[in-house]
Amino acid sequence: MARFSGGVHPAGCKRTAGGGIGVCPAPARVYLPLARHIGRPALPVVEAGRRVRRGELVAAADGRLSANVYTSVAGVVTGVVTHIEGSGKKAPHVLIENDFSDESVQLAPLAERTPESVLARIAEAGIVGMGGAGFPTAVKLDAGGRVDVLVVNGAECEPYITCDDSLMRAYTGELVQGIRLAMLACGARRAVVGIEKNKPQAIAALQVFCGQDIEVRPLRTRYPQGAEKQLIYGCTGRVVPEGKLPADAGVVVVNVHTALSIYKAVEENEPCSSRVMTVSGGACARPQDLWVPNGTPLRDLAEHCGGREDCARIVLGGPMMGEPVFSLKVCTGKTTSCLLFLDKSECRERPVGPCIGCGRCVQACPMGLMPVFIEEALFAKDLDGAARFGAPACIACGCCSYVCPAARQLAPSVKLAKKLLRERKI
Amino acid sequence: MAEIANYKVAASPHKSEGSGTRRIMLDVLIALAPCLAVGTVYYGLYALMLVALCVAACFASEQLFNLARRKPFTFDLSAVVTGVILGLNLPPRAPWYIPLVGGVFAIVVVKMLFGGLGKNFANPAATARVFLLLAYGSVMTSYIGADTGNFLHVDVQAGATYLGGGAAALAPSFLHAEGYWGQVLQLFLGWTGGSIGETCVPAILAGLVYLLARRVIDWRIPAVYVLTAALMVLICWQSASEILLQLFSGGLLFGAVFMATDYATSPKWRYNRVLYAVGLGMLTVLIRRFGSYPEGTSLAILIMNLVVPVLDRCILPVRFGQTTKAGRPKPDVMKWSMRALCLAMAAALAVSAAVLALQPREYAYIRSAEQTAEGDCVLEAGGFFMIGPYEQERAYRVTIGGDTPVVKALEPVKENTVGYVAELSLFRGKTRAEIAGLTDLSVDSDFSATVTNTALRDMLLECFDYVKYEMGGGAHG
Repeated sequence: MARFSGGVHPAGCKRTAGGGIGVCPAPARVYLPLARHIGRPALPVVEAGRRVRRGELVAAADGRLSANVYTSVAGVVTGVVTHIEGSGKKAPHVLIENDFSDESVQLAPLAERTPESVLARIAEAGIVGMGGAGFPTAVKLDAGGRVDVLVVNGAECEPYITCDDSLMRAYTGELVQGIRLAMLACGARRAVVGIEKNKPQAIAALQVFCGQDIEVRPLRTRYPQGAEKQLIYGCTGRVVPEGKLPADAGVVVVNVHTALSIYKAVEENEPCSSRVMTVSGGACARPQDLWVPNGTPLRDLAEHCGGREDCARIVLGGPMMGEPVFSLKVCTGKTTSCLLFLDKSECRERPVGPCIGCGRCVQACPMGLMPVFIEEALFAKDLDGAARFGAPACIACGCCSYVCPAARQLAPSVKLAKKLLRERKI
Repeated sequence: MAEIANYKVAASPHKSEGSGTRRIMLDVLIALAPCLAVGTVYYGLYALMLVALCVAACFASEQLFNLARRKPFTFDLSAVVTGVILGLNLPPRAPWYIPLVGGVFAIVVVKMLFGGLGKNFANPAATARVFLLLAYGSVMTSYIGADTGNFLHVDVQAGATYLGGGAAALAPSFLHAEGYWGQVLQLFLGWTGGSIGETCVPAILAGLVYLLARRVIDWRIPAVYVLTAALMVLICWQSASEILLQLFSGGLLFGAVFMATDYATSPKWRYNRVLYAVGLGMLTVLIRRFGSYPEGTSLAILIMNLVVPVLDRCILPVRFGQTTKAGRPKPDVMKWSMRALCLAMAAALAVSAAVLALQPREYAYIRSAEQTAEGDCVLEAGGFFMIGPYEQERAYRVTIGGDTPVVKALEPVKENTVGYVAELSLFRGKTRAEIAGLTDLSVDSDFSATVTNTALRDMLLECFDYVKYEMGGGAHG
């Protein structure tokens, strides 16, 4: 088994594992984000006052690199509003008042299963990478025959998050069919499902369903095992060259939730309008995995799961890479996998001290960078130096900050150096 | 901004491993505790007082420096660590001002002037030790022997170290182990002269195990340092038996565990650390063997510390997926060459140590040997003995019992009547241990008789060894 070097091993804290998947009650109003994916924001196709049923298109993709947006509840469109996003910026959302009739529509059944038709359906259903990146899946899978292996990401290496684990256990058969459809769409002859060894039930469940074409690969439990390049290395032994795409190594990666969405879009004619999320953390009274309609305000989730607003920190996403939450008015989307209410013992605030030169950030970096010297170069306004120590290759996993005994903000520094270097190039 | 609530936010990651600077320094102090305890038992309360003075000097000078620079006081324990390490590096009966001068030098000159914690250009303790050695040469090289009886005594006779005085500095036998293994055991337990904390190997190893278990230090530095040093000893001394004597004496192990692993002054990338440790091992042994100072650990650490910035900035890790200009994957030359170097060194050390150790024993006195029907071994042994001013050839027939390993008979075969006749009765009926334990061989203050008896004793010990190793003397095991 190919083991990437570096990485860290944070405590799992996966307290919602094995608890099944619940359902979040539909909220009174949903804010459907139009730009929660990579590419151009979707263009609204509904006007204020129009009544929509669940599964109806409310915003259409603007060009190839964009995604359709479907409503997750039935109700009346209030209009397109600007609403706060996870980053703290404002962005256009379609606001829908739920009438609780739960009337729904489906996509038209798919007549045949050819790569073209499946790709078209994936695009139609508005599926984007549900692991967090939000890249339109149809664009990714349309690799032009360069891909021979499909890697399915079930690593779920971030602490707390268990939505993929629960999904693999609860929807194993559907997931395997979704993987076969994705293989068909991208032209891969075989698929490898990479799962960290701390999820033995998911591994066992998938092994029952998998055939010769789909291999389940138990992976070492080490963060960031689920990062794209590290996952590809662990599953296939291939190294994606710097500055290249996985397709250049003959690989395409999809998340297990994305594969399940493909199944639902093709076989059940359901567009991507809800997802499984983990709500957890020490300040959450009823931590659980649950189906959440897209556009649900975090406050509804917090109330349903008993998350305390006055906790030490609220995080959207995992504790390693997730965004801090500024406001519970922020809404869920296709890419939000986790909501954490961390108490004081879980995210200790520590004063930043001087670097003692221990080199732990260098040992921990899974990309072979030297965060300590990148930070030094950045502070000295020496961008060439930062580039020399590898700043452009940063994957923002946060291992360097995680291990730093002086609590230095290494990951943000390296991210900033990367950003400045990219801006300088343009 | 009504939409933004008053939440606490911070950049990801939101978790941390949980080890802090002060905790790391505390771990180092805990790891140093066995050395400090053993040093106190061996060399007395005065030694403990020296360490305490050194800690006080380090801590006070750091805070005074902060005061002078109008900076906040620092309570990260790093000055205490420097103080303990430097204190344990001092001779047990150094004058009281030595730790004060050393501590102030280490903290002010080496650390604070260069920017404080993490910015020191070299290990403060190693640099201060080298400074003290240059400034107070005779004081810094006069040691006392270890003795629990020293506990409250300050005036103790000077004792030599193995590095300074050679095998003569060690007792002929130690805890019932004689000869070579006695010396090794004595050095291993540190029952000899040396700096306060550096002599007792078990105490250092206990600290090492603790530091490794707490993941405070990288195992590569001490491991490769010791490996390289062992190989270099083998090369420089051409003797396998010298390896353990050299490794266990002086500050090599203490330096390898506590000083070479200093964070700020050791490389950041793991394979640079291997290269750094190789350099340390080579320099230490070269200084010991060919330099004019008997001990080279601190100097080697100081020199390699100065190379570290170059290593850190010139030899970079190969990034995951990094390619050459031609677009091929960049080979990790450093990683594989360092691994190969370590394997090669370990193999070379194992092979040559085995070859040197398995060389046939040489016997200076044995001429012939036979076994009687009763199982006794009859040996004819002899050689040139110093009798007075003359060298005479003498030979004896020695019978060593098969059932009881004693000298059953000892008869002269060829004994010149000129000069002194050996006092054979001294040895008859005695076991090997008894003969080895004969220390008072002087006969009526007759100098030549003493020399003759000493030579006879060595001859008889060799006879016992011959019976044991060459004749399979079962009863003499």
